[in-house]
Amino acid sequence: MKSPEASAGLSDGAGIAAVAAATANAYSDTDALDRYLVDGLRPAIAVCPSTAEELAAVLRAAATADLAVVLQGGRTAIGLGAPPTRYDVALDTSALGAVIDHVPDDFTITVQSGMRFAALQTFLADHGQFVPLDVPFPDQATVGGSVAAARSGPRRGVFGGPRDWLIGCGVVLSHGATVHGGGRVVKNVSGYDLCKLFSGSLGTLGCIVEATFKLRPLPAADATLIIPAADLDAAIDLGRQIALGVNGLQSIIALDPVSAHDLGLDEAGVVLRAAGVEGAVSSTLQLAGAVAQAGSAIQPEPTAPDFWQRLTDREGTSPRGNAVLVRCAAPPDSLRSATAALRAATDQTCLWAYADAGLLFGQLAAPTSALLPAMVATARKGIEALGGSLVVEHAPVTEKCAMDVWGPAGDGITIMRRIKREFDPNATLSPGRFVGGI
Amino acid sequence: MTGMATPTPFVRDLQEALGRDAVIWALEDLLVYEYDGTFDRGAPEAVAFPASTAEVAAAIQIANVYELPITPRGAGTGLSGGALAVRGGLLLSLNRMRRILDIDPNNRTALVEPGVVNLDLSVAAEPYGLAYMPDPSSQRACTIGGNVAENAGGPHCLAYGATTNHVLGLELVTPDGTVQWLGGPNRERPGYDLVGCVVGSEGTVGVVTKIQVKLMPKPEAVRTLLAIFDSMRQASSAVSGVIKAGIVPAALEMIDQQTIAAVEPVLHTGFPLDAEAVLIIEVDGPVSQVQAEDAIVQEIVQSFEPREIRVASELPDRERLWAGRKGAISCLGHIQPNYYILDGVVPRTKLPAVLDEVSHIAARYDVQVANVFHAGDGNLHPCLLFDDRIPGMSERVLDAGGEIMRLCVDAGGAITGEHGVGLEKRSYLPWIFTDDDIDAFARLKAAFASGDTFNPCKVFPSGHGCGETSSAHAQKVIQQFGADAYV
Repeated sequence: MKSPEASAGLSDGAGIAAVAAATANAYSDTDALDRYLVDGLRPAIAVCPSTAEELAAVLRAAATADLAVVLQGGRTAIGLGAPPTRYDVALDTSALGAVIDHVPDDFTITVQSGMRFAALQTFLADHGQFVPLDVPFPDQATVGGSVAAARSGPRRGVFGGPRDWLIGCGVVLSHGATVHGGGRVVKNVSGYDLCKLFSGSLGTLGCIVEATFKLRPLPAADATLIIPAADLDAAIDLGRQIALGVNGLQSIIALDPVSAHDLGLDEAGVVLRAAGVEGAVSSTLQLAGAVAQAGSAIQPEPTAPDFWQRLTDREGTSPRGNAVLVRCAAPPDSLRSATAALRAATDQTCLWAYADAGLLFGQLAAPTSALLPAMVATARKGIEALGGSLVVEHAPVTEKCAMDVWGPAGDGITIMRRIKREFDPNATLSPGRFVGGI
Repeated sequence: MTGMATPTPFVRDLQEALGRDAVIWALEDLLVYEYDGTFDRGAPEAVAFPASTAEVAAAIQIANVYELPITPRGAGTGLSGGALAVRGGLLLSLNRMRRILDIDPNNRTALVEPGVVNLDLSVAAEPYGLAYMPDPSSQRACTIGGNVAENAGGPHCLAYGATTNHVLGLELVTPDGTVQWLGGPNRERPGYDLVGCVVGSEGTVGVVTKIQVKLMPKPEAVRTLLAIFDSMRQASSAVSGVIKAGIVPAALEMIDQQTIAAVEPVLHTGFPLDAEAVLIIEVDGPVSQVQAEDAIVQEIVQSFEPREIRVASELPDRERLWAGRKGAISCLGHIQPNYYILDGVVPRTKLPAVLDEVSHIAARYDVQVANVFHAGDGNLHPCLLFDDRIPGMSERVLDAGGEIMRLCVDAGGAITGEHGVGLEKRSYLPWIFTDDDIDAFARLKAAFASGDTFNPCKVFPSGHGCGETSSAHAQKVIQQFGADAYV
């Protein structure tokens, strides 16, 4: 592993200068660079290009000089992934914040990737529209970063992730060429689907500079129903029963007492969200209440956006102390076994689950941080036995170096490595951060 | 089987690996495999019918030994020439792999082989109250494997998305003959979205031998509304009105006056011949939602002063409303013996202007045109009607088709919404993608396969040995009237 200091040494000095020359916004003073730490590593230079052309010039200069670039936007998911094996240039996309094209009646929007996610949603709300993705810390998170990190939230069981809403993209590759996938129409099978390739690629294949989304109308009514349960397992059982018995819900969340408390609720339970036309929403929630035999005392209430945003933010919040945040995916019907697998790894857990999507999040703590890697390995083994997967979303840096945050990528790893070689042959982009050391 | 010719060593190796009855090689037997839903042709040297993943891999390896091209094929209903063995070699028919391996009602997934017919999966899921949502109009014939290759759509993908939104995992045999499982059982697997890359790659990166798909609850209620309009503009405004009201209908379909003229005498749908447009709007979901949405939709549509509105909730009544739309293509044959179906997409708001221009182009080439289209997502299917016995007619139709494609591109659209690029439209690819973009496609392809023997002459605009067909104007992509054509 090349240390940041070595990267910025004499041999790379000319390369750094070339990167700096490619943009008016280059920073190399320590204070500025401290804002771009990645897993404790400091880059030799940080750049914040103000146009896509400048950004391409930066990447070309960096690749030519064999410098390593870590792409970043709002840095809300900067803890995701293994520590980079090299890190010379911080490439900050947040100056690319413009709306490029929006024809409201087409229900599509094209924006630059550095636009903040909340700014995008606010802009769209004025037109009665939204991108149906929930992103942690949207005031900071950028559109490009949210796509690259495949962020989504409590409504993913219904709406999926960025890959399901991104219909066009412009991406700068490490040799400086800009490539496009998809287009600006909602139904399109022209050419290979590069939008899928770049969604969730964590900045290891190219820098997304432009994104086109298809949109949904904002619902007229949006309501929430909270049904208490004895504990998480009871909440999951209830959630599964509702998932299989009631159609039209957008979120079915099971909370353990700790996560419920963090969200301002008194006890464990299931939280449901329904949205759509007036009339349908309340009857959907009432039906869910009846399925859960929750009694008439429990009434739906208008959705508090703050509640759902705080729930979403938990997906991007690093736990305090000697703890990690893990995201587990498993067949929805095995969620209870999945909670058991996490509890078998440690008795200090804070868990919540998306009962419709088969997702389980957990803050897992250990008595000492040195025990974290083994704890993660145990938890992963249990989840994989269910046919699922476990990704460490947040971990203390030192322990992160000692664990595999992604776990195995399966049979596809050979093709994934070839894709990386084809698109970024010198491993300029975020080297070492992704699955299998990509 | 013919007693006269003798099988080549390549054919004998295939027979040995797959069994004699799993290989077709005699010229007269091959004839039917030279075609798909287009009018182009490509003759394979042999057709193999593997019954398992291992046999698919074995057949691929044998073709590789002889350095012969390989072209996978489903039901052959494709409308872009994607399943044609343009450079000969091995045609891999997946029709024997048609088992539904698993339906998991609790996790709402199904595992199927590629040869399973689209509709058969929904039929199998029905006892569980579930359905497979992508519903291309050819769903009684087309296979899930072909749907995966083309990222097939259908009338209901407006609300539910296309095939790519419903595939969770795949077993893929890559062009070098290795077998791998990608994705599944849900979307949160770490790594690049290889499933998303394979879906819609038009059978150019490997053969899909198992598919895990999402099933969804069958809608509790469905309400279909049909409205007849005096003007296309009014009908288009009604579509905009519904969408602006915050409703995402399950389907929003339209046919134009020329199509009405074709449909009415055959199906007796009661459409007035002087009406310019018939609009179908379908809403589905929980009962309460459908009731509420239907009331809003009716009010909006009414405000645009249609000549007539018909509504239906029960299946036989709804099918009657759909008859004119679903039967439209087969009725066109009563006007002219041949038709050529185009598949363009434009931003939805550009539809009325583009449709006007389509009729101008058709007039300029003196070709009749009938339009059926997915009004909700801007996907138009102009059908050029003609008689190919008239000398020079086919060429005129192809030229008109090319100009209409160009029109879609110039309106900010794309060259295919659901039929694929295939052989037919690969020359148009540079209209919407730069050299750098196409180079990126090539890099992605190279990660799955080296060389150009796997499904050659498809998607990419260049490629050697593709013959006459590689030129857009020389392509005989004329759709002949027949029951095997769908949109």
